[in-house]
Amino acid sequence: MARELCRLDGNARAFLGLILVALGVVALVGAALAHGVAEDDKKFLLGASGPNIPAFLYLGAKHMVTGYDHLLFLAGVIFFLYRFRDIAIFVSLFSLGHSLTLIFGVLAGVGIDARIIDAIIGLSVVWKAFDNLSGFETTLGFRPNLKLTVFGFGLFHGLGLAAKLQDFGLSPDGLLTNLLSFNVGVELGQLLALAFILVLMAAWRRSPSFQKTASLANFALMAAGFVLIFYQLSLLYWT
Amino acid sequence: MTHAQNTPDQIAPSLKTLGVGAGFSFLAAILAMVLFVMPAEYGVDPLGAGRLMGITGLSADVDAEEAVEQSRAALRDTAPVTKDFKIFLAPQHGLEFKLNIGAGEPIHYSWKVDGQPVEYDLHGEPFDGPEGYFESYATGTGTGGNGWFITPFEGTHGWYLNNQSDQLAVFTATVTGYFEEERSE
Repeated sequence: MARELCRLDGNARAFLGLILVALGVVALVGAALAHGVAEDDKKFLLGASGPNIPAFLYLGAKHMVTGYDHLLFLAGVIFFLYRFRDIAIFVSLFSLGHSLTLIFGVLAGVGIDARIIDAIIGLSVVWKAFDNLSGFETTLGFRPNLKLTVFGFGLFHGLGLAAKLQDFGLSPDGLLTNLLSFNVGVELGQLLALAFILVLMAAWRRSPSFQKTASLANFALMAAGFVLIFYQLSLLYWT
Repeated sequence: MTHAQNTPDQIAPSLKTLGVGAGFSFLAAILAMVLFVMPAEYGVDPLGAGRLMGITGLSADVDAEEAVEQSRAALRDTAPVTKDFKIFLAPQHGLEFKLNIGAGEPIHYSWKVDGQPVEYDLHGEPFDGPEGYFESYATGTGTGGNGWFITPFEGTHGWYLNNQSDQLAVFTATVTGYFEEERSE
């Protein structure tokens, strides 16, 4: 793994450095919060009133790092991206998309059923896996604009985040500060998660089996996306 | 977007591979739902796989936690009911005595048996749970007990009683809380 890291270009190394800084920030914030974090997040938020930047930073980062639906989509997006510039562009588009709907969704009190949003997030995973497998070209003869779809699905991921944040019943006191902190936390968590995915992908790509396993991996990603969709639909049906 | 020639941003399996792979992914997801998610989350177990693995109704515990969470405080229009019950337990005979109670209801109880100790299992069965699923609150052999529990789900809650002696035993219980009609089996 260390050898793989050394082979990354300068930009990528700078990026990993940035991620380590992000990791440090999150760890420090987490440590500063230690006793608050041990308690149930929801209970904490229900009781919270007024701006609390470190708490919401931490919660945003935690949500992203533990949110497997976001991680699966992210893994799909960067699956075939090798250059730092491309990764930066697509991850920024995704971030822009989900930040927009996260902030405006909460401020405007958009109340779309979280299960429907989460089913669409599952669809985004299936979509990206299908796209990685050239599925649109093979079946329809064209490829939907990649940047547009990543941005568009970013909007839905943000709505999902907004729905979860609204579930907590936030106090209007310090709402904007807390919301922005949560959003920054989400981006920090995303950088962290990205670092792990990138290092693993870098190692995997260099192995001779990559070509063979790449299509299998994307079909697995597709299956995971289907499970997300079915699970959310089953929640709609049974609960 | 530009790419170096050796770094394609897709792979292109044939239409056949794509179809077979996508089909398998779809089926695998359905299998995962039917084998694991549906039995564990909803107690819906069409293939019986959940019972085989012992994961059926797993999430009832989670529901219980939520119910407890929600029921910390509640306002009601009516006063709680206290009711006395009396049941005769025939020798060498077991029966169930239960009440219909909603989810998250705190129930206080006190019971005793005149006669030999009986086997008891204070438990609940959800209305919409998998067949045969129940959760025990207190079990043992004895001549009485007092306490309280919070119902983890909407369903029937009460005692299974087994009088293993050769004499008739009389079971009396006092129950306080919000519950509906009495139910005896």
